[in-house]
Amino acid sequence: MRVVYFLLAGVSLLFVGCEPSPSAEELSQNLVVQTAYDETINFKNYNTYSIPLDTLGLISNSVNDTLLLGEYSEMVTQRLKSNMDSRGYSWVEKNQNPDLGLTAFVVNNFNVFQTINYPNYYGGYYSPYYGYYFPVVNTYASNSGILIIQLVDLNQKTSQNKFRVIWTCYIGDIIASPDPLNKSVEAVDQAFAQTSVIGK
Amino acid sequence: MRILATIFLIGFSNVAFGQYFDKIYGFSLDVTTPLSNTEYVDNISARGFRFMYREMISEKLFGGLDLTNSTLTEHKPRQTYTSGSSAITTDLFNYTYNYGATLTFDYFLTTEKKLMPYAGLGVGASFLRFHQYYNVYSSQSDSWGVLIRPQVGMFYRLRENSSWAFQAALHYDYSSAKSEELALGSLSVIGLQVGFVILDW
Repeated sequence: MRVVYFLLAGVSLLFVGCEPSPSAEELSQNLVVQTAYDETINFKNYNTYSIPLDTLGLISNSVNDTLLLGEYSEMVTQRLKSNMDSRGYSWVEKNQNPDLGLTAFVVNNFNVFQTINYPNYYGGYYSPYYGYYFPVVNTYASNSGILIIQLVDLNQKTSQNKFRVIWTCYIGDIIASPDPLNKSVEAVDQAFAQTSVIGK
Repeated sequence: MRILATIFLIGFSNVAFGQYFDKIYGFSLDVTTPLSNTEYVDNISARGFRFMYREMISEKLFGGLDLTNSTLTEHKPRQTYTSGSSAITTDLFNYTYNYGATLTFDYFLTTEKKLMPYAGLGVGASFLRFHQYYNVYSSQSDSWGVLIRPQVGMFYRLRENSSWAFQAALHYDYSSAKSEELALGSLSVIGLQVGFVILDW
């Protein structure tokens, strides 16, 4: 019998708490910056670009707004402009036929999960000794946000009136970051640094 | 005189019986370091432990089960990884969760003294979980393989008839489990186990 207890203790220890993971604080220190460009494109062929300078798009399942305003949007868009300017492109208004469209938007995904545990075998069970057993509701929330930047070739339109995306950048997670504003600005610089092909 | 001899023999046999054991239970902490896949993790880890159970097969040969777990970790500072026209900049937290279950046989040079050196070999199954954490994202690759573990060690009893002993062992683990996703080959580690054993009879 001692063998059984011993093995049970061993197996329990193996499966309980033996997969340590890094802390959320460690993980959220730096944003992930992922980029990909279209290899068939010669980025030197473009001269002008356009981007709204104080607004980011917003795609969210928690709010109905489609635009994100304020300091964060201003800082990010200004940083995008300064990087494009430093690569030799000229900013123009969107009605001045720019060659490139630079779009930036935040995708915010907010989810709430609920699990319901009943302390006995059946929900809503009444015991004459202990009264009514209420179900235990556990609520978990997860919130994540990605800043997506796209460079679109406005000179090429497909037969379905769609423009060609020639560069994409994903920056995340901006919700978990302890300093989303400065880290996002730093990440925008990194996005351009790791895409040396963009430039005149 | 015959009575005295009988008392002596009974007394001697009791002492001898006190030294005797035919089952061993043990728990030890395991400090390990990888010898392969060092580009993924190359740190010494103290996050490991082992449960052992042995039964006597002959006077000096014991056989039984080892259950082991260890976690190898390394933080790779932020850098850019490029593949064709794609690039990603991040810091990586590389983790290897290592589980093993082996049928193990240990041969003891002696089982009657305070110090009991032994050498053993374990063969069994290995489960490796390679987990890369980066920001709120992660990727995981699981793999099963064969585990071979030669080891040398010793038990040390404070008294010769003690029913428990300290244990120290040096082991080498070879696991054939691999990860194609992370381009990692078979895993070899060396480790030092320190713990205690219960000698049961």
